[in-house]
Amino acid sequence: MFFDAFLLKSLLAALMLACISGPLGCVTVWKGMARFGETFAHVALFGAVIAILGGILPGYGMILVALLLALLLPFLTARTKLSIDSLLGILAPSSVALALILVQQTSISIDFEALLFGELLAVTNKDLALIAIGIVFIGILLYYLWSPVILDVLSRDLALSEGLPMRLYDVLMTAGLGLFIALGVKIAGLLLINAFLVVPASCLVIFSRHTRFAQSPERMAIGSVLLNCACVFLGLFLAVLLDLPAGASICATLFIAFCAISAFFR
Amino acid sequence: MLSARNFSLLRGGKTILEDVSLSLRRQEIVTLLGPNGGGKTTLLQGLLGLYGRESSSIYRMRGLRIGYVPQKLHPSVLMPLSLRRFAMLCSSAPRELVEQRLEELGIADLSLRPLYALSGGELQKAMLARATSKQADCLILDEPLSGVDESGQQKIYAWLERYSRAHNCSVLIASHDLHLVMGATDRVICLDRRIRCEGKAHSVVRTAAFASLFGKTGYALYAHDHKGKHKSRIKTQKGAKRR
Repeated sequence: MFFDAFLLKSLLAALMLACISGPLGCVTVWKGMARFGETFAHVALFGAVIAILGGILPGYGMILVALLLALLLPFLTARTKLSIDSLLGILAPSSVALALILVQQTSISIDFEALLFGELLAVTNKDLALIAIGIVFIGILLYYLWSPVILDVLSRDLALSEGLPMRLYDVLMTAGLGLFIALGVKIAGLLLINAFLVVPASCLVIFSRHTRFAQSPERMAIGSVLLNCACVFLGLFLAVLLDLPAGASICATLFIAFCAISAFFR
Repeated sequence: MLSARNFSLLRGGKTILEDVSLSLRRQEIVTLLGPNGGGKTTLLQGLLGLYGRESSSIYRMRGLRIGYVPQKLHPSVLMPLSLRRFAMLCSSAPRELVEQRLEELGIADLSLRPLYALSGGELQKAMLARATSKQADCLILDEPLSGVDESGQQKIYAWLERYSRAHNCSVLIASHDLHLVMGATDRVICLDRRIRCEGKAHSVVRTAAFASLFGKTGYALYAHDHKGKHKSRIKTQKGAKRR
């Protein structure tokens, strides 16, 4: 069989991440937070370093710091009155710089390449179980916050006037995103996890403008999931066939899909 | 059922609202008039409870359902959300009722269009349909008809009046348009940081405070309105424009 048991785990892990990042990516794109994933990933690196220094598993450090950022970010935007984008632009390089200084000063070793590209071909059963639990968690969150978030994108005042606790929802949504990235980074790497979030959702935006397909937020999310999964299949297939790095191959496939869609619909 | 008692609000060291007290009674239509930057929107948001702890001097009847129309909606071009879906979003209103409202406001044939493809006036009507389909006890409308053409405005004000009588629903409208609002309104409140004058429409316009806020033109125009020539006057104006 082309996909043997060993590859099947990678496929399963990538598909699970692809599925949840469909709707999650739509939300990030709608809220104008496409850089969110990137920043989170950078901050997660800082978390990993701290965790190693503290003697716990890097993964936990990532999740912890990501959650901390989720709590901090709404507070920071309220206090500084800067746009989320600017704040993210400040936090991303700073956290990487801090991480680098720490690494250099304490002579611990960190495999930066693994962080960037992940270890998609070295997925363990434990990884699979962790992702599955995380995805159920994020899925439940998305299910309950879906409509409020859509209303919030249109008008925060309108959402607040319905009595929706949008501040709490902001934190929950950001925490969900942080959890997703912390879970995904080990396997898919920073690159792929961000591509999963932003590329399909952006493709579907183009789709929705030019076709009758994807004419509702839900359909856009489903479309993103389908596109993500198709690219996972194709990317992994190409990786095996041409002996390419798996994560980068899926990432490149997503990019080609984006190019094709934006060239086709003008 | 909804009131503010000595409500003040500071923002960035500037007083936006100072000692504002007002209350909205059942089935009452109140118009909040005021110049730009006079704090109309802030007051409405305060009444909605959007300012958290700072809104401690706002009193709402328990279980009061409010339909709110914000000043403007900025639909994201990244989100394909149809008009009908928007009207039902986060709302318990049954589908038939929403469709009936869209019909009454004359935007039913647009119900499958994405929001970002609608004009400003159509968006205002969409928000109005949303606010009125959830059986609210009270409507808070922030310049609800900006971007709606003049004849459309008259129709919608008439519809709004019928709606509020039929559903036992009070209405608080913020506006800076002196001519069209007043016809249906029970009480006018003029707001410029503080409440400057308040009362029945015809008595308010005679006060010095009103004149100082809106100048001679506002006063003069309204004086005609008050003698019942309101509608005919506007019609002749429009006729003149057409010619």
